[in-house]
Amino acid sequence: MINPNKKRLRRTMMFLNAQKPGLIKDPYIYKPDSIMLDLEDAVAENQKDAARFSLFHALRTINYRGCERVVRINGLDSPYWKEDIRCAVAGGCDSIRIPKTESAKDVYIVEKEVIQAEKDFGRPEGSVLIMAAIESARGVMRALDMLRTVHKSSREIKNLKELNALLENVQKSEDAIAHQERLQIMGTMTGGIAHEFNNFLTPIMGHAELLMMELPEGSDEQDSAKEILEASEKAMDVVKQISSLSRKNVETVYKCIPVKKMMQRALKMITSVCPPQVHLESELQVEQENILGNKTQLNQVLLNICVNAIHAIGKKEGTIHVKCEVISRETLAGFLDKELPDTWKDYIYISIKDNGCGMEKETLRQIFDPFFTTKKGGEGTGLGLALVEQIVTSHKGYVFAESQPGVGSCFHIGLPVLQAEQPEETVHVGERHEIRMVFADDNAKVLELLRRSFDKIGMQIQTCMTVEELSANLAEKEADVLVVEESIEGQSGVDFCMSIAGKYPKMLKLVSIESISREIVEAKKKGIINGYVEKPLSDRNVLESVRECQKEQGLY
Amino acid sequence: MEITKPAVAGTLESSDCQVMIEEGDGKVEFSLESSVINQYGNQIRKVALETLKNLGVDNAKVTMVDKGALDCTIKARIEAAVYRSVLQTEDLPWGGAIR
Repeated sequence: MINPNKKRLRRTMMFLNAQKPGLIKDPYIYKPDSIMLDLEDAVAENQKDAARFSLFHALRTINYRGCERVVRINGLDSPYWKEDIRCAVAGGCDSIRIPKTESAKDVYIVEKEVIQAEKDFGRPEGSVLIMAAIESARGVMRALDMLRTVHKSSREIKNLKELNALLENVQKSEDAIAHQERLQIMGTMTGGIAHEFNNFLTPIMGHAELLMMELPEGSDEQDSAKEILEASEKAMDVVKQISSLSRKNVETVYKCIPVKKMMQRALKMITSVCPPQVHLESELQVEQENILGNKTQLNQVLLNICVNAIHAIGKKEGTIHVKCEVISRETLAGFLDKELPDTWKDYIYISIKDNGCGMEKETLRQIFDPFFTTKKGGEGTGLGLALVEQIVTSHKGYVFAESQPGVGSCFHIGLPVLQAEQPEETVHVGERHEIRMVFADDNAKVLELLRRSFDKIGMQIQTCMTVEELSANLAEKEADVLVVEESIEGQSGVDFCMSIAGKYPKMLKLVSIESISREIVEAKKKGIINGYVEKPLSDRNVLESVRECQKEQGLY
Repeated sequence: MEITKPAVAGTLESSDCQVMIEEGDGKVEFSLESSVINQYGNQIRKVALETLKNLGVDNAKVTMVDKGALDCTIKARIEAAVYRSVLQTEDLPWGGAIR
């Protein structure tokens, strides 16, 4: 059994000379986590014997009110330590501290002695913890060995090790957050600058072209003008990428895309950029699956990754292998080693593998960071993969990469599969059939109120409390209007709308919100939802929003 | 336990007591000097004699100068003095005679 004291908190440790009655009688009033009764350095050489009696009776009779009672024994090179252990164990101490531990052997012999003392004085084996104090460089070097030798209870070093690891993690995540923040600021800034930049570039390029025309063909001056033009063109490219990264000036409407078609198109495009020594192999194991997204953006994702692969292969022979298949959420979660929301059942899994030069770990860690590039000055923008990540994430997908220097890299992309599109309904109920409305909210009171107010104006509505109930309800009979709360039991209403977009293309999807957020506006822009209703919900504001959506859709 | 050699343990600091033990003349002779003799004289005497009895000392002259020591300190000092006198520093009877 593990000694329950092993993991106790040890923030403060009060050292006392075990030989001084004035010190040992009441240290608990300061409430340290541990009290260290010292037999070692604090005790004069000629008082070692007297200190033990004092220690023994202190341990036996003084109530230290929950403070851990640790005894620091004399060094293992002294003649005292064995008797110290017997005295401390017999007195009933909680832990024994070994001073200046330097080897696994030190811990081992102390442990043996402690076990013997536990037996001699009728204490359960393992009730006394051992704390190895590492006080020298040699001790530090051998700390791991010490831990391996002993199989028993607590070791201060172990705790220290855990603490260190914890602190390191905190430091790392703080660094990561700071880094993210910096990137975010940079992104916002560059997005704004990009537009201005274009305005500057236009006259530069225009005048450079004029100069080229006016200057005599082949002159040095014309060459200079040509350089200017080329450099500006490159700058223009960078600006274009920046603005697509910051999502300005880009129309992104999400539509239902058949995966097979999209992949075939993308592969054709990639083939056209592949140099002759690079072979493109593909393996498409998808048939009817669809995803909700933007074709241009997804094409860009595949192209950017493949262009990198081509660069990695360089001038030698190489192959790029593109594979596309459908996998379950669980499988993808396994790849990513994290939980995925259960909004989608299946994912399209695309892997792009090359046998190029590969990447070092350090490079791999940073590839998705904007402006990170390994290409030589001016050749790369460092935005390609940042864009890939941003697009995939906004498609509610996942992207990750693995690589081995000299062997090659492999990029993995997972994108949520739209649930099968239902065949177009052939039967149309009479033109002015009653609108079927479904409300989903995890607050029963809200639903009840809505039901009553709609009742008053003579409309029947359906209500659901959970996402599962809602899915079942819709499966039973398609609704004309769906109003879903933006966060229903922690699940995003927008994500739900996205997941059913293919199933019920005709249904008006509205999200009820507390206040307008960027996500909602974007979702509407992309066509994931048709509109939103601000809370508090009433029959009037819902109907108004529905009417507005219908107007936008051109239904009325 | 036979006391033949004189021995001293403890200090004259506050909360401590100094115990001197030497060869007795057939019985236990205990003399006490304490700043709190009027309040705790009897208790100190009781604890001291009990400790000596536990150790099996029945022939010794014990002198104690107390500066307000707790019972546990009194016991510890007497035991220290006794074991110093018999020169035993190892394999002490913890929890046995020492209790």
